[in-house]
Amino acid sequence: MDFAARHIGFVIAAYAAAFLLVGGLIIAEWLRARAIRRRLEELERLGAPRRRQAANPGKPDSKKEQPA
Amino acid sequence: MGLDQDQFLYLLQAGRLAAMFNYLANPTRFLKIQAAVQPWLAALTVAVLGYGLYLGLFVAPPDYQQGETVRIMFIHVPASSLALGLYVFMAFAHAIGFIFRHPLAEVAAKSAAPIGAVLTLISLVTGSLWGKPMWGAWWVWDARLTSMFVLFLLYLGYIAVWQAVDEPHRAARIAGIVALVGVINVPIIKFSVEWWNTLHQPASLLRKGGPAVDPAILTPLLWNMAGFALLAATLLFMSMRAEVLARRVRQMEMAQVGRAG
Amino acid sequence: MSVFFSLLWRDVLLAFRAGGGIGTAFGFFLTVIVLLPIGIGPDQALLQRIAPGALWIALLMSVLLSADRIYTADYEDGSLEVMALGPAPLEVAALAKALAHWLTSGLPLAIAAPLLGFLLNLDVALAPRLAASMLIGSVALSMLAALGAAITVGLRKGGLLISLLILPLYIPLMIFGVSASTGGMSGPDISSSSFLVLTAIVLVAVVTSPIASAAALRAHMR
Repeated sequence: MDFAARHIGFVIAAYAAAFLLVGGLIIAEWLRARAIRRRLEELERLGAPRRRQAANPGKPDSKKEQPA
Repeated sequence: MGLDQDQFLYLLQAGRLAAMFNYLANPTRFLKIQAAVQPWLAALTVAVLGYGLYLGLFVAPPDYQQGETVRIMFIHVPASSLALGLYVFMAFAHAIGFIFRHPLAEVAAKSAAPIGAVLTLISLVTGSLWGKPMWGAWWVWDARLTSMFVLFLLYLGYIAVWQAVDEPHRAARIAGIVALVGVINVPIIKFSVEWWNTLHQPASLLRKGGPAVDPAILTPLLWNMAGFALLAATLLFMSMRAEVLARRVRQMEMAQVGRAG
Repeated sequence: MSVFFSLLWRDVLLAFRAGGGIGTAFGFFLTVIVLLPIGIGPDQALLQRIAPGALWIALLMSVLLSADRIYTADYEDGSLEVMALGPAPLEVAALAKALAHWLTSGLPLAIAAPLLGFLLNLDVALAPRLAASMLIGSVALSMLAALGAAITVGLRKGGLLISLLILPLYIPLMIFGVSASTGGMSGPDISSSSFLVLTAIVLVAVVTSPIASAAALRAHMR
């Protein structure tokens, strides 16, 4: 890469923007995952029952009530 | 209008992933497999994307017309095609969710949306940075940029639906309708925008008569495309794990409330 | 079938008697048409050049203005659940609602637009084409507006969401609608082929919108 070339700033800016956007996405995902993991640990410490519904996906969720 | 070959390849990829979800439909099994695969996938992503970027930045020769700006293409093209591919994947996952009622398909679709939106944004930003020296303006209503902009709006609408509906099952169904209607519209939008702006460059990456792009440019481009696809897969898996756990948290909270009340 | 027509008639009557709908759309349309020359200057040649596009934009926004009200009242007072449980499939009800919206917003505006076009110095030769493309195109505008309304019914921020959802769907209609009404004003005359593509998109919208709307309404009422 020739750093003295014309428009080189645009190339650098494009790569920087792509890195920032992907990096931002990774950080956002990581923060979200961490928050969820902490909440899950907290709930498990409180002894909340884990229902088996999450592990039983084949069954369509039943309609509890018909719209009147 | 037929599909470009690269679009077709993405569709194929989406189909394979969907078949995989069929097996992984059990969220607990998914979590187990995801935990085992994730480090390898991440390592592979870093290796392939790193090699692709090295080729693109230091090995590929500057274009005789565009000079060094041609290097922007190594981000712009993979991001654009992957953004489009992820939208199709999202709609496909929702179709599977509708037909087979796999909650994991909906989780996959929901997790793919922010990744697709960010890739679309990257495509727009890099396209604009490419356009400034080429066209002399930051934004030109060029057919491809316009299509990508509309795709960005489709992603935003889809994400907004997930945000607006509280109950996950209902949100999944409504988001699925939005995604399916959107995917019907993607080719119509692409066709109409090209009709509207016939001054676009013809697609020249992969054609029947062989690549029109010089191999010195094409090889790094293909490496980068593979790298971006791996990056998207890694992020998708990460995000799906978080989403599965988030649903578990929600169920536990509901159970907690039920027990207390 | 009788369900379809009684629902259609009910909605048209409601739009006229309860007021608001048609008047608001007309007022908005007129506002855009009057403010446009004031905003960009009274250059006759320029106005003539942008007239078809400007009229299409005004039509599109006026239709969008009344979009979020298509299902709101029926959702809130429970009529929608009656329709869902009624003898006709919900898809038929959705089609009737969308057609009623067209009859009370798209159709009157499409008739009025070429007449109001003289304010924008619209080329008289283009007026019949503009009227035809708007008559056809506004059907799809209403269908997609109804779809957006069905998706966002009963949601917080529904008004913002509906514009975001519908905007991408309106772009092809806008493109082919305008190119069907401008004729050979700039470049070769592609108005008849544009008109055919516009019609094709309208047909797709007429088929897709009731099915998707009904699915969305069912999801909301579960």
